[in-house]
Formats: sequence, C-alpha cells, structure tokens
Amino acid sequence: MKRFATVVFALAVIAAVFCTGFAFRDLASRREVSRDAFARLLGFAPQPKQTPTALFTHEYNAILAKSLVPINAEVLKHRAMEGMFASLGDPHTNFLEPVAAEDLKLETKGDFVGIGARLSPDPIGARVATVFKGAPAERAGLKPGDMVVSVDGEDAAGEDVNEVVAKIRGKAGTKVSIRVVRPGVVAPVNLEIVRGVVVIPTAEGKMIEPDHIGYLAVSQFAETTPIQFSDALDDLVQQRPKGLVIDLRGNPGGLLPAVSEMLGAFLDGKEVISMKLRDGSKQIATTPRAKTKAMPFPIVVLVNEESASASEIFAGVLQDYQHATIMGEHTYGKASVQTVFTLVDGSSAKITLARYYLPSGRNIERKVDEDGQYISGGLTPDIKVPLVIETDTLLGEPGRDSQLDLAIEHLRQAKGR
Amino acid sequence: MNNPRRNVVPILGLLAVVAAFVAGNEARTRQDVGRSISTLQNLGVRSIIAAKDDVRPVGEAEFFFQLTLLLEREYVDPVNDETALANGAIRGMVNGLLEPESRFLDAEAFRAHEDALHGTVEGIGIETTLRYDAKTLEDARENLRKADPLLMLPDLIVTTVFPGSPAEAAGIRAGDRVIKLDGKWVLSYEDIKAIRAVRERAAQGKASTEEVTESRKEFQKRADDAKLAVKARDVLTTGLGKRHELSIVRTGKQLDFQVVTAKTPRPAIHKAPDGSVRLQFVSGAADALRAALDAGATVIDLRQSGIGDPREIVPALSAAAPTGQYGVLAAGMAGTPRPLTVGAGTERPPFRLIVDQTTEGAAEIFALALKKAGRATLTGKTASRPFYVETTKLPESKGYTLLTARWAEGAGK
Repeated sequence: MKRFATVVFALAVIAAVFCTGFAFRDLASRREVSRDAFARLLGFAPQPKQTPTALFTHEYNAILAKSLVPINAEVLKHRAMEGMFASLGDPHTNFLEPVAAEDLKLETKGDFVGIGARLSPDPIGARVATVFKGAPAERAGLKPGDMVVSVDGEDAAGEDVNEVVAKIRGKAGTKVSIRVVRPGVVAPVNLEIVRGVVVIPTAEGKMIEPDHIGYLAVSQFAETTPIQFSDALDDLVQQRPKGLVIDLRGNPGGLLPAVSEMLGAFLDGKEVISMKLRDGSKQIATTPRAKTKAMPFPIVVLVNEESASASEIFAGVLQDYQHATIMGEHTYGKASVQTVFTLVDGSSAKITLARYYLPSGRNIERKVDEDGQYISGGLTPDIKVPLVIETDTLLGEPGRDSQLDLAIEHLRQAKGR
Repeated sequence: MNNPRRNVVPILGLLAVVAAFVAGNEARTRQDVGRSISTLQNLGVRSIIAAKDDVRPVGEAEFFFQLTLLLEREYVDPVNDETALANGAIRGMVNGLLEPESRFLDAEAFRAHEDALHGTVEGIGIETTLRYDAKTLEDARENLRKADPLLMLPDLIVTTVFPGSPAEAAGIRAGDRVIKLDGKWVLSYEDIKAIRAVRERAAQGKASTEEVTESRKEFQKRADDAKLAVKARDVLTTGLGKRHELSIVRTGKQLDFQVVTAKTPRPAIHKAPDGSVRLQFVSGAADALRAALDAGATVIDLRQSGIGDPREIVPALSAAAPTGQYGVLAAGMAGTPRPLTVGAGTERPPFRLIVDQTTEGAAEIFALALKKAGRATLTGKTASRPFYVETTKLPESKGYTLLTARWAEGAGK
C-alpha cells in the first residue's frame, strides 16, 4: 500500500513538473499562464491553423522567392524584425541591424579609435569638416577645409565619403598617410597621422563677454561626457561668472548614469527619476553624494524640441528643484528607459523596460496625432522663447542666436543667489 | 546503505523530473512554433543575446521566435498578440522592398483593395502610385544608409481615375501629383530639391540670402503640418461619404479640388453609346469579355484600367485568342522568364484595343501580349507598367500586394 502511494506521488510530481515546463514561457515573461495552450494540449480546443512563427516564415519565403525587386535574404530578415518591433507602436523600441547597432555603440561610448576628424561629402572628394581638439589629426596639422585627395598612396579624389572614411579607419597605434589640398596653398600637403583613441567633445564651455556669462553646450550624454562637463564647469566657475547658460538644444539624450553624475554638481544625493517596471516594481536613480560645486549665480537651461531623454531629465530635475530657469521651446517628450541587447548576429534589440517620472511625479510622455505631429508632452519651459531664424543664425553665437540672447538678458537682470 | 538500488532511485527520479520539464517545454514550443527549435534554445531566451565574441548567423524562424520571447519578457507593457507581431514583421518586409506596388494593407485598406478587385471602388475613385527619386531609390535598395532620408520622400501620383468616380466628376486626371490633402502638405523629394537648389544658387551668388531664409521658413512651415504620402494614399482610396480637400500639381500649376468619397462601380464590361466596350480587370473579367466578343464587339477600351487582378489575364487571353505562347513573364528576383501560355484558346478575327498612358497592370499585359501575337491592333501607347501584382490575405483581416513579375516579349517570334 505504501508502495502504491509512492508511485502515485511520483507521477503527480512528474505531471506537475511537466506542466511547469509547458507553462515556462508564460512564467518567464511574468504573465498569466495561457489556458488556451493547455486546452489545446489536452485536445479540448482545436490547434490554430498557423502559428505566428509559421505565418511569418511562410511569407518570408514567399517574398524571397517571388518578389521581382531583388532583396538580400539577410536584409529582408532585418526589415522583418524592424517591422515586428515597430508594430508595438513605441518609437523607442527598435531592432537595429548590425551597422546601425555598431553606430549606436560608438555614439553611447563617446570615444573611438581614429584620427579625430569629421569628413563631409564634396563633389571633389572628402572635405574635412571638423578636427577634434587634442586628437591625432590636430597634432599632425590637419585643418578644417582640407580636401583629402589620397590615403596611403591610394587615390581618394571624387570617392564616396564613406569609402574614404573606411580607408582612414584602422587599429590604434598604426600610421596613415594622407595627402590633402588646402585652400590657398598651391602644393598638396602630406600628413602622417598615428591613429589613437579619440574622445568626441560632447560638453564644451566658453565665457561670453562683455556680460561675463558662462556658456556650456552639451551635445549628448555619452560615457565620456561627465568628465568633460565637470572640467568645463570648473573652468567657468573659477572665473566667477555672473550667470550660466547650459545649452541642451538638439541634444538627443544618452545614458542615465551620465545625467545622474552630472546633476551631482548641483544636487546632493537627491532623487533624479523613479522608474516603473513592467512588474510594477519601482527603481530610483539618485545623484551622488558630496559632489556639489558652489555656484553663487543664476542658471538658465536652454532646450528645444530636439532635446530628448537624458536632456529632459537633466533640465526637468533642475526645474523641479527650482535650481535653474528653463528657457526655449517645449522638449521632445521621451519618458521611458531602454536597454540594448546585443544579438549573436551582430544586430541589437533596443527595448523599453520602464517608464520614468521626474521628482515632482510628472510624466512627460509625448502624444502625437495620426500623422505623427506633436500634440502634447515634453517639458514646458519657464520662459517660452522661439528661435527666430535669420540669414546669419548660428546657435551658440551671441548676437546670432535669439534664444541665447534672451537667456543672457534674463541672467543679466536676475539677482545672484 | 550499500544497497545499489538506494543510490539509483534518487538519480533516476531527478532525471525523470528534468525530462518531464524539458518535455513540457518542448510540447509548448511545438504548439507555438509549429516545429521544434531545439528546446535548449527555447529554455534560455539569452541564447540569441550575444555573450563575449559569440557570433553566428540566425535563421529567420529562430530569429522571429526568440525575439518574440525577448519582447514578451522585457517590454514594459504585456505583449500577448503574437499574430500582430508576425503581421508587423510582414509589414516590415513588404515595405522594406521600397517598391510602390508592393504594399502592406491594414484591415480597412485591404477590404477596400479586395472590393476594388471585385467591382466596387471606395474613396474618391482613383489609383495612385509613389514615384521615388530614381538615384536615391537605387542607393536605398543597395544600402538604406547610403540614401539621403529626405530624398526618400516620394511623390504621390494619380495613375487611374475610374470612369464615373467622384474624382472624375471633380476634374482630377491621371498624372496629377497630390501635394496637399485636408490642409496637410504631402512633402516629397522635389520640395527638398527645390530648397537645396535655392541654397546652391545663393552659394554661387545667384540668389540672395533672404531667398534662402524665406524658402527655409516656408519649408519648415510645411514640414510642421505634413502628411506622409503612404498615409495620404490610404485616405484617398478608402472611406465613403467623407469630404476631402486636395491640391494637385498639373504641368507646373496648382489646382484645388473638393471631393466627397463614394462607391464607384467598376464593372468588368461597360458598353459605351459609341459601341465600344470598356474592360476592367476585376474578377469575372474574362467571362464578361468572352460574352462581349461573342456578341460581336470589335473595339475594346483599356484606358483607366488600374493594376487589376492578374488571375484574369490567362482566362481573358484564352477568351480572345487561340492557344499559344504570348510573350513571357519575367518573374522572381532573378527575373527568370516564364512563358505566358494560353491553352484552350478561341480562334477569332483580330480586333482593336484602345490604350493610353493609363493602360497598366493586367490590362497592359493583355494588350501587349495580343499585339505581339498579331491578334489585336493598338491605338495609343501604354503606360510601360505591365506589372503582375499578386494579393495575399493575412490573419486579422490584413493583407499585402507584391509585384512578382512584369511582361516581356521574350525570345523567339
């Protein structure tokens, strides 16, 4: 009798484990166990005609075999995954094919191996648009405006910029010789440049005279941004400015840890955002302790519709703690946090994991109409200032940037703290 | 203690438990995927997530299934509708071809498309196409990142105005380019090129900087209130009883129209007072054509025909001409020629086909095939769009069209 009970018990355990294995998919994604699946397993419900995977695979093969317009199988697969992610209706949940994934990695790291120059297309060839401060290209004497005519002896005139860039790229420590034509110089100039790690300048400061107001432009929040920001800020604070403008216009965002660290200069161990995850749990990001700098002057943060994500956190937190006046136009309205999963074929999946709320509890999620046009969302500036486009408009240049001019005016009239 | 059975039982038990779990999981995978994708991969969704230096290609079924799992597990909102994910993937593939006649159709657009192939047209009663900048399209198909995204905005062009439609009554014509719909601008590469041309002229000192600022401001105003051409296409070809304001450009001039959407009948055969017979390639076209020819029709009008239903081509040819080969269909990605053969044909005296720039799709294939075989004379020039466009139905009332072939004369006679 005891033996019989043991056998029944063992069978029950095995059945229970089988069921757990069967429902593991649902359990792992923390959702309700599918009753339909069990009903189908036991034969109570009919098998669906086609599973989603079979449906997808069938159409994939049909398009690949039948389309008159040629498309590479790998590309078609990646287009499919892009469409699958897009069907969720969240503009920030994206599938990135390998090249795009690689670009995103470079962008968020904020440094790369190269010579430290940006090239732009030109009918004659590749033209040097910018040379980064302190980069190998600058040390070797490359100048903006130079036209690249050959790389390592290979002719580069008239070639596509991307191909010229590919030729110049290489491993750290290796040499590349570039021949350039310089405007106003008759003979071509030969330069030998040693490739090295180049930090992309993402936070740059300057003093605006005669008003003696500090100006700090942050173009993105990369891994290397906090240290650049801190250095530039120290440099400006030492000069005892009458006010400070932090320019986040056009800044698409970046990494949350970078923002938290940078806000540490203003706020001591304060809440930055609280994130709400899919299972309802909460996570709070805070600024570091004992990192504040003395800033006895008023601060303006400039924003516009292209200020998104980390920019909105930065500006919104300073607004909530009444630490700065926000000027410009409403921001983009990205109120969610993503994680990037690198996939085995080199592509990656960027997925929204959580929604975030600013310290005041507000959610700034962007709302759009069916044509994708803005309805509401984003931060509302304390003082709305539109940008007046003139022929000579240049952002960051006093006198040629109407928003910056009004920010300076505001700081001149504001009383010091 | 030394009884060997005592040691074996726990191990067997543990194995049985593990086996039960794996079997359960495998059963679910078979149910969800339709076939087995290695249980070990299914157990760990992380298998598709790269560890260090872990590089391998992934097959399409595994890719889809694994990413479904990943989204279900990680995405901020619950993901329950996997069929919607599959439809999204199909949308991505079809639209990723960057081919104007290959379109993913949502429920409403699909129903309107099916109705149009069965003799009733919705919307304002037109067919349209997207016209891309040729060079940019070539770049984009080679590598999407090579193409300038702004120059990827297509023109929205009217290709067919169905007889008796609200669009025809309003005076809209084939060839018109839609630039504005219900107060929103349909921007295209042409607008981008125009603003760049002004800048270019300014750089050469042939235009003032004020002109550049003006054109930039005007463009910004339009971009702030814009509608995508693909969306405008759906609006114009679906719905009943809705009033639309649209502006078009015809030979450089802007014209404004007000049109109310309505049902437009699109019969397979329509007899005109002058005795000519108008043919539309909708279902039943071949039977109706046979009846008309038997009744003595000698002139067939193939204008304003639309892309039509390609399944009617072969039956229509066999109603109109004897058994034989009628050119080829260059099909599939390789463009492999496949003979267009007609069995059980009908011997008839040659007749006349009226065609023009709006004769395209199934109707154009029909016309060119008969002309090549010397079975019909053509008055006019066709659109050079002899496209064979197939329709596929998907779950959730969606579907898509796909350009699968185009007609060619082929080798031989």
